Amino acid sequence: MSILEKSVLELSSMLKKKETTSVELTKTFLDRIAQTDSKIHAFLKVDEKKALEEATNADKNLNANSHPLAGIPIAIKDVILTNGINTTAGSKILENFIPTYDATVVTKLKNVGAVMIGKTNCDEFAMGSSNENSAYGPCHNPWDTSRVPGGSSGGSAAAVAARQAPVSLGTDTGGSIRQPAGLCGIVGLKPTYGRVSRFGVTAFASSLDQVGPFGKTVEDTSILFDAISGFDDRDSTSERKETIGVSTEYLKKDIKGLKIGVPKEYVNEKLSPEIRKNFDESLKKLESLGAKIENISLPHTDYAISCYYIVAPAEASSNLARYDGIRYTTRKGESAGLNEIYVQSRTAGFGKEVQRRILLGTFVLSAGYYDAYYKKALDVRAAIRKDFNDAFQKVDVIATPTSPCEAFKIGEKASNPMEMYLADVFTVATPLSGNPALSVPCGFLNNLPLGLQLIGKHFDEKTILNVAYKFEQETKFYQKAPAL
Amino acid sequence: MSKITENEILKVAKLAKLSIDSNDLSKRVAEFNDILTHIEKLNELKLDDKSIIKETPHLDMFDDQSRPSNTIDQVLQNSPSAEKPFFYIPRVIEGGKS
Repeated sequence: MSILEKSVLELSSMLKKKETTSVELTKTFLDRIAQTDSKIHAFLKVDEKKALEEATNADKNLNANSHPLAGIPIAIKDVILTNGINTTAGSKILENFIPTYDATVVTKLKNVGAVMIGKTNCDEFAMGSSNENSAYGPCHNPWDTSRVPGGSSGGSAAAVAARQAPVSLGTDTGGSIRQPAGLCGIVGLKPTYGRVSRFGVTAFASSLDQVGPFGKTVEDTSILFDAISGFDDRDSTSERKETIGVSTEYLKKDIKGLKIGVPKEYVNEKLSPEIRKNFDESLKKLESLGAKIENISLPHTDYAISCYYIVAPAEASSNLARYDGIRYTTRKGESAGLNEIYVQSRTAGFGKEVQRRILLGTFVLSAGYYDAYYKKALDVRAAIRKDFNDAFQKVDVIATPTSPCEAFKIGEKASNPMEMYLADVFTVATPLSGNPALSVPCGFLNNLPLGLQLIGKHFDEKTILNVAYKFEQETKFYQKAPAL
Repeated sequence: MSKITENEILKVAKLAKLSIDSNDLSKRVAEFNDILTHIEKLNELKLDDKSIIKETPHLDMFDDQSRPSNTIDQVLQNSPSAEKPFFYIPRVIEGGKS
């Protein structure tokens, strides 16, 4: 088996037995990026020198007790701050921005000896479902480079699918980890809100944003998830909860008798017959593993997209007010006075979709519209949260398709914002409710991967990872890699 | 709910410190109204279930103690125009020497 196909634990074992070194491993993945990224464009920045320095340090410190991620290269979504390394959030407005500190998740990974191999492409400020909103050009799906990898963490998902990095970090605000994981045929986990620190993560919608891991397999994803989890006193929404632990033994637990709910609002006549067929086959597999499938209802599902596209832009319009041409952006309009600096810097620096969402957010928060839109959306959000809490009184896990279709063509939905927003129809509810959710590969349609979404109780990532692992080991879809 | 007009979107843009190109205005208004039509679906809902508890954001209270943060040099490092310890901006008060 090629070294590019090996799991984190296999690579870690090779490093500990001195069968390879972190420098060799890092060079292998850097070569892979050099060979394939002209077709994929998963990376916005690869700092070879820095990556090899970190790998050299990792080699010096590696011992039998080292963390499984010690010496392992990791790709990082470009909305996550990396000290001294250009972080653009996929935006022209941060083209020259060099962070002066690391995000907590990066600090945690450096502390265990992981190697930062590069910063990945994404939709500008994580706003998008296709990676086409990146100011630096779209990322391409490794399974078919004429198609999108999903978004907004498209680069992080494509990098793992293309074997350019063993694992990567993304962020999820409305589906930005799970949707690209599904479309790229890998595993992606959005943790419970409050589980992973947001300190040092470029804010899009602060009450929804979560950092999460991507991996080829559930086990790789679990190891990275554990490494980034935990309380952080620099994030006031961080929760004091026990992490899942570095051992992955819990993944192998029998799922016999576990109740898996299928919400009728997700799986109905509106679902395409091909996606429905694949989903039904996935349910049968879960049943064959001993799980009990139960029909449930999440009554406010139909309102989730509307609720999301009020709450998220409202928070974005406030969060992005900081990009004013004064503190850390390119400045325009200097000669026309202070107000023109704000207007011209922002208009030139932000792309169309970001401007659209800022306008929408400003509108729903403005006098005369606040009650009708924003306040109403908060009420609906509480109702959606209650739907999940009620459902989890009856079942242990909820299963849905991750996306309503396979990866679409680049440009196919670009001219219609509302059509693009509907690509997230199955993933937007869980950031609103705060529940954890993941996508695991569940087959192919027209040679393009599909994802199965598993949603868990708050802070019960272990159970969805356990179910996903059993499903993955039974189906083995993870063994198929795109030809590049 | 009434549709947003060109004048209204220009007012929102002013509040958001953005400018909209006049050639682009009618397209932006159409896109905006398409999105509003969809999100106004929420108006169908009558939420009178008292069991729905409004979310209160979780906030961890910390001791008010000073601790290391960014230095002035670090804060100014990414500014397009700064000289320690200030950000430079054009004069905002009318009159006087410039």
